[in-house]
Amino acid sequence: MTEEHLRQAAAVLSKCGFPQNRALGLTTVPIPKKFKCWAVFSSSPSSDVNTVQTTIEGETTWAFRAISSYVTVPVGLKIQIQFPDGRFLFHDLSDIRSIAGFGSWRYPLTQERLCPPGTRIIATFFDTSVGTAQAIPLLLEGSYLYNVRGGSAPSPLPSLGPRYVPGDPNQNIMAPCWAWGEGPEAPKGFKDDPGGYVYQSQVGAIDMGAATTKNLTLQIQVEPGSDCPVWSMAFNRTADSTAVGDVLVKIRNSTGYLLTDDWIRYGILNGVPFFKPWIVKANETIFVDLALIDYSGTGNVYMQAFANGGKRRRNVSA
Amino acid sequence: MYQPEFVRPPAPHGFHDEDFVHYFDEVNTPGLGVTIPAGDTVRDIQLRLETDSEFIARGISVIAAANPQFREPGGFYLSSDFMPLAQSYRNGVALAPSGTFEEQTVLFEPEIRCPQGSNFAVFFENPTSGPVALGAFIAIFGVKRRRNDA
Repeated sequence: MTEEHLRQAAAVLSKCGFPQNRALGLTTVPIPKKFKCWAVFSSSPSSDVNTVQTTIEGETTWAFRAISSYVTVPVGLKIQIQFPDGRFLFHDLSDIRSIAGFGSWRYPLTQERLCPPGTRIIATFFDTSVGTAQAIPLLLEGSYLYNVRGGSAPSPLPSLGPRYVPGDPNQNIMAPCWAWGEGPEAPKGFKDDPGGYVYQSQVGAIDMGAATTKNLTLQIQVEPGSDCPVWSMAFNRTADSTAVGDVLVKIRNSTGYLLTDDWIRYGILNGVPFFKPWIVKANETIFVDLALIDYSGTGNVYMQAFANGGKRRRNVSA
Repeated sequence: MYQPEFVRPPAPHGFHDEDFVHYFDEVNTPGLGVTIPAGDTVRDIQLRLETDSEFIARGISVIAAANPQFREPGGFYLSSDFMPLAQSYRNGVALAPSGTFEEQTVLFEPEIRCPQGSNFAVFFENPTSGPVALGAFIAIFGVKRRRNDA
């Protein structure tokens, strides 16, 4: 890495709207760098605790941005991570599966942690499955940050912030903003209760008996005090061991609005996020019409429906 | 979890955010390790958050042998009843590499602002016809919002 390379990178990034420190006239160039943080527990370890210190090497500050790991079932490991500033990622030793994964399932930090050269990240592993040999390949991902003076003209709208998370590979251009728990805002005059809310229907049973109808309607009643912006519908289908059958659904609400114009297999809609919420007003009811198809055997097929959304209330101060 | 290509709004002036995960299991919360009789419930298991700063909760992962219902620190329930895990707090299981549950994180929208030292409460129902050992793991993801001088 030469100074010329950094200047070229700064020039390119600046034209892409990369954020700059305008006051100092600096552009920060991120150069990806990963540190491995590995530990091994034998089947009869001398200690069930293993502390691994990773020293940040290099000539400039390293931004800690994500953790990748690969674990195999069964998992018997707990982990704690301490940042160079002495603070912890977890409030207690935590099952490693809470952050485990790689690629799209890696654990991204929403706020990068700056680690100056020579500082340490301390990972503590605790073996909860003594008797099973386990390896823990942990990869600490991030970038060296090089400051380069100059560069091209700054982004014309720096106050809006960058659309792209700088240098962060944990992105999906198809992800709607609310997939990260961020907006869209409730309309003016309304507010959403924190955390969202899930409405559910009763459990409906469709009997296989030849003389009985193969249709049923589930109902989800929205409470009187708030509207429900529905972000997705989910369904839970179970069946007696002697019963076989698939279920079609048709979804509407009590105003007559049809969400589906015809029967559709419930699996196609199951948990699929809507790009725009379906607003079901207070006191309205969501009806989920069911039709059993391709059925055989005896007993019942059971269905329950869920409206995954929130509670949207009128803002009394508005 | 996938992150859309939008940056989060910055912390308010004078504050900064730090990633943090509150993790609960039967070791630090004995109520998560009980056995629930058939058709019975356990109620009001308190998940205590740390006391040093406000916590902004943005997602949750749950593994348990029973159906949960959560109440957030402000007193709001997050579902109208107990929820089957597969339809509520597990997400994308089939797509994931083996042995993980981070991919099952379900996001809170909007985020939940939790005062320092406040509690989530979780309730569980055993809908089966036999007793189940709860064996619950709960990870609540988010950020600690600290004053810049703290």
